[in-house]
Amino acid sequence: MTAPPTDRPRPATPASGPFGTPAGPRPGAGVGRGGGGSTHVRSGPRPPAVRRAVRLGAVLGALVIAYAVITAVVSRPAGHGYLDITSADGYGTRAVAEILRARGVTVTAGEQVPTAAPAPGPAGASAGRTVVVTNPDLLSQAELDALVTSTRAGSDVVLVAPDPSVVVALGLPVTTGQPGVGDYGDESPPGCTLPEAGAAGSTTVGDSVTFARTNGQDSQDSQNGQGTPGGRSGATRVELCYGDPGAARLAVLTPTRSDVGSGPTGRLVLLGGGGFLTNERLDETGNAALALGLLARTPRLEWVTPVVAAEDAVGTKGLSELLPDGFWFGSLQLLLVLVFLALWQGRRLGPPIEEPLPVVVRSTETVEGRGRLYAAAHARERAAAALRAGLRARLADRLGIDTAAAGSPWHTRGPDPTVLVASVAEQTGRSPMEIGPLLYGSDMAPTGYSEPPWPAHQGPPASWASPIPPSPVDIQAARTRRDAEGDVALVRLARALHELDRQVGRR
Amino acid sequence: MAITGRAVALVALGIVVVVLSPAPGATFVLVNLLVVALICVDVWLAGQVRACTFARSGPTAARLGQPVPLVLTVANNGTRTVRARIRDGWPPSAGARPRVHRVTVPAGERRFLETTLNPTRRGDRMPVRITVRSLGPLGLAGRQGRHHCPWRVRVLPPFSSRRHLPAALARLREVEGEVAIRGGGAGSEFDSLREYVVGDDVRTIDWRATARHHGSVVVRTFRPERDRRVICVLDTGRTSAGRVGDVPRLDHALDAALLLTAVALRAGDRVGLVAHDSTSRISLPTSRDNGLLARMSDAMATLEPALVEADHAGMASAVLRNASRRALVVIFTELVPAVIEDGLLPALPTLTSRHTVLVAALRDPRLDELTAGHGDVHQVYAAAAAEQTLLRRRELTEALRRRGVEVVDVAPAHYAALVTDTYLTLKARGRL
Repeated sequence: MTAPPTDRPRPATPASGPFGTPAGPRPGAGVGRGGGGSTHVRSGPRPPAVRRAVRLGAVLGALVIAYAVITAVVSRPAGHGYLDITSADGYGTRAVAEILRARGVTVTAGEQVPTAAPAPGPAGASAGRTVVVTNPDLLSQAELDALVTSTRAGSDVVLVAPDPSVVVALGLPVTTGQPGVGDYGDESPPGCTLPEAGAAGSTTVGDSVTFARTNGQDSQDSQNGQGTPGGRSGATRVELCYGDPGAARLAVLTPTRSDVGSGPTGRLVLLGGGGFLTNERLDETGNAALALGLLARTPRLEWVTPVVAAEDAVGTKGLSELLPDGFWFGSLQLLLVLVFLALWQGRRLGPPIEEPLPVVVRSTETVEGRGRLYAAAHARERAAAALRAGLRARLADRLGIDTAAAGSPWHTRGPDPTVLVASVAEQTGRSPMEIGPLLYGSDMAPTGYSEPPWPAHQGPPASWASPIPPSPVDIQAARTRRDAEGDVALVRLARALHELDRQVGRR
Repeated sequence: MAITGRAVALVALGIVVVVLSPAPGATFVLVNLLVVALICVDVWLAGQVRACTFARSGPTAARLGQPVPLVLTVANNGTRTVRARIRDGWPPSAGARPRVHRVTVPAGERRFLETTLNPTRRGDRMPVRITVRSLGPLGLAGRQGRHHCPWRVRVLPPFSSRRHLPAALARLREVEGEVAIRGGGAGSEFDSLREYVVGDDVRTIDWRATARHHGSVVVRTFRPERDRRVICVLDTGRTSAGRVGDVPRLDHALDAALLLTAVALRAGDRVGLVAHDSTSRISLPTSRDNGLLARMSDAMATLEPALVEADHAGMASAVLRNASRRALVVIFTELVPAVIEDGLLPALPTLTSRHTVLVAALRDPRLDELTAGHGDVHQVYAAAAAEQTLLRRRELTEALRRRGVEVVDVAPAHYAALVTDTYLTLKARGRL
């Protein structure tokens, strides 16, 4: 962004007027581009295009930030979520919560799994509680383990539609599967000996996950000898209800360890889906009965709706696992589109046709180049001589004065000086004493008055008289200043000559 | 073979199908096999490129600035309809429009495609190749092939100085004395005798005829010499490549030479042309027939500046070969020391001993603009450089004039007119 100022016209030296006195050393003033002057350039204002782009970028950025803030504020979950016990929507579960409260069950909602397991109070139903987790795959391994451990302490744990990852993480003796395409939410008979199921009869429980016993479990009441949750050895009884044993929609796992105690043990209930608990569907068939049977066994109910996944949530999935297959094949197809696009655009209708071009250069290029060389070398005397000789020749032509015979170099040739000066003076009404030095002078001064090479009010530079040899920096600075002032004088001479040219009648 | 945007669009449509499909993998394979099959069928059904034949018609020469309408005939000798996109490939400076033709040629029929050239440069323009892309009926893909159908359009110099022709011819009539002006026609060639009227130069009285003719005084009338020779010499060396305004010096010189030739032919003179740099490029012998101007334009059309130093001795001998009798030699060159002092001045005596020489140089108006610059230091230095260049030109002009050479050094706007004017002045003075 600092590049453009280098190409801008530098602050013009003649800003002080053609006859103004240069006021002290002005860095950079009138120094030729190729001279030994300072190459430093002030970083000027940004060009308008850049400024416009910056402003546009700022506006766009502000808009994006505003949008993000507004959406974050507006879209905060406000109690209308799926399986939310405060929500009266079709997908909420306020109805079941109210029924449970009416039955004397304390229903509390939370976003965190209660960490401290309730103290195993006096053995009895009153000590237990029921924990419903609506999104178990957002829990971490430790939280899940704590839940399973609490079942041994007499709590019931209900996991709604657990992911395969949850089942694996818990090491449960069941496997999960997908229900068939046409099985979503239709009614099915209990088909098991679970008392609550038997009481409820047909329900529409389960619509997203099915459960099956792992291999080797051929009986509903068989003892599970494999690893149990948390790596603790123990036996678990698995009851599968609603649907085939290979695709059941409800699984109830009851630990059968001897040290549990005499009271009713807690159990782990895996629901194939929470749809039957919602306000909309609770009144269908035996849904309400099943819900009450499963949730009203204990006096307290903790309804846990994890919102933010734990850092090490067992259900954490990579982006690739979350994307559907169609996405990957779609991407492949997109790649193919690019290939076809390349084939389409890459096949041209015949090759480009070459053309031998003649060489053409600007005719005055050498002249302008020589001008720049003069400027770089500060060839003031030569330039002044050329300007004077050119004007003399033109004036002689214009006034009809015969040019003298040739043979001498270009800058000394020309018309008879006295005749020319007299004619010009007559034409312009100016004094010959003024015209003579202007046309035939040998220095920069347009009026014959020669300035000292340093500014008059400063006197000669102190370093000239100094016994200490001047440093190269001083010499450089002095030379730069002298060049600058010489250039100013040259411009002044050029203007004086131009003025004379105009007075005699430039065509 | 080539596919079209339609095929790409079809594959792109496949993205939607694949993404929405319940079985994306199978759909992916199916969709793309279908597309490829369709493309293959389309290519197979496309008309044959090889069965087409091409022919051209139209003008073969035009002045620069005039459009050249050309017709390209495409005949389909195959058995299937050809739905083609045809590109007639011309070099960029030919300015061919349209670039691509879309045409449908049923089997056994012909179609005519109109291509208009708007050349941007002098010289010969030749088409390179004809590329044909024949698409299938579905427009998904097609076959591609090429044909060659040679042609040549010669783009002649624009001769924009034609607008000066009426004025120059008027001056010519004046010089020849066809217009009744005081003093009558100048010249040295005897024309006829007539009776003396008041105002005639007494020196023109023919006393012998007056003695024969009873009662009245008879004067001789003269007219400018006819059947003189003019040789235009074009320096096509490196200096002719310099651009003045928007046009190289050479093109300005061609323009001026054409105007001079047109006027000289009307004046009954014979005109020849020599173009020379390090070697002879053009040498047209002097001639007086009406086709000369066209021949000259034709020869000039392909002339380009060469980046070599002109060989003026060779140029002089080419002129001497061309002109056996006394002639006006008009040298179109540039007034720079390297050319004049090193090249032309040594070669000049052989020319001036037998011929009248006119050096016609073009002055770049930019030089005068530069001399007027006094805004800042750089402008002043540039002005000094320009002044110096102008002084050198002045010096060279004087050097040439001292050797009896006429010099024209003028800006492009008046170049052609002034060269012709100088010729007419020389003719009026009887210096041809």
